Amino acid sequence: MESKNFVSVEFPALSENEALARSVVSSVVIPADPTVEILSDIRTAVSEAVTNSIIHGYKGKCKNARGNVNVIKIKCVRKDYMLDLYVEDFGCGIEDIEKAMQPLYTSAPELERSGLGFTVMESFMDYIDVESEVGKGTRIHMKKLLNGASDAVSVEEL
Amino acid sequence: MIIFPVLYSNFGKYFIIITPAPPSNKGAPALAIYYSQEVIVTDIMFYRSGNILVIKVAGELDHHSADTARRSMDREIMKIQTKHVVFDFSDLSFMDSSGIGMLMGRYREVKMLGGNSGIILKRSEARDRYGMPALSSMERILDMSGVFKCMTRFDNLETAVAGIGG
Ligand SMILES: Nc1ncnc2c1ncn2[C@@H]1O[C@H](COP(=O)(O)OP(=O)(O)OP(=O)(O)O)[C@@H](O)[C@H]1O
Ligand SMILES: [Mg+2]
Repeated sequence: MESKNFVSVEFPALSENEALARSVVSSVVIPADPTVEILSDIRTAVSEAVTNSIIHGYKGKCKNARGNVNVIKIKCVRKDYMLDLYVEDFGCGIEDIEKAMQPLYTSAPELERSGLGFTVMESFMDYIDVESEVGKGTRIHMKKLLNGASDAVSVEEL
Repeated sequence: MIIFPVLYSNFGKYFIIITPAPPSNKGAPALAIYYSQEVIVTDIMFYRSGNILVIKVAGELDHHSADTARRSMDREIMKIQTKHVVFDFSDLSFMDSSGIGMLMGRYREVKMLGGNSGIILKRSEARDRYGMPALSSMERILDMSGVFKCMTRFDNLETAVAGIGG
């Protein structure tokens, strides 16, 4: 029998919502009965993406210059044992994605960032795609196999 | 809102939070057990042992809680004026890269004052899908970041206190 579920949420770019984002994604993932490690890998990746949108995309501001709320959107789709996760912001965007994704690269060392977020997302998830446009925003798409069979599947199959 | 002391432990898969029932609620059982997959409370405790400041962080360490944690840690480090710092992460249930920035920032401060830093981590009980021992997500982040090149890892408070003072 096919098992399917999805959730879409939108919330203001407040740091307290990092925990909320992890909870929402956990709730969608848990019915597939993942191992503790798979669940915590996913929770870590969600946390990295949402934190980036808050700190970098929106520069820590919950409202924009026009007084509108800065929102982050998450979409989480579970189909059988595959999780598709989208984290999207409408902030400043990334000029050079390749450079941004390099391990230890950070544009915010003064905020005690270590430049590991993308490296964590890449190594904890089975697939990552980053789309970004300067002045428009950033969308991260990640995938993870929930039964832990990832090393048996090639990226093309995903 | 009344907050009751919370004890939690990682029984198998998910967390079980045990909180004493509200005293006013006479009919309630002595202990109410809530099943939850997460413990969101982040608790920071400071202890002192000789010239070592022990900073225990329990719960979840993300950007939100790291910002608060950082402020209280810097205040304690300045106030207590110990030489060395040990981070006790044995009851930490979640950490992302924000935790690394927080650790490295404190490491630099302590080093400038001539002290050493250490970190206490529980040995991971994580298994891969073949049932073989594996590193937990938290251990992998710490490993990736190179934090272990700057601070010594310990299994428990006793060995940390004995090992760091030097
Ligand atoms: N949503 C985003 N919008 C704009 N810029 C981003 C976004 N996400 C990442 N970036 C840019 O990419 C860089 C690298 O991100 P990464 O998460 O790897 O490191 P970091 O956030 O700087 O540090 P850490 O994640 O370790 O705290 C950031 O410093 C930032 O310049
Ligand atoms: Mg980041």
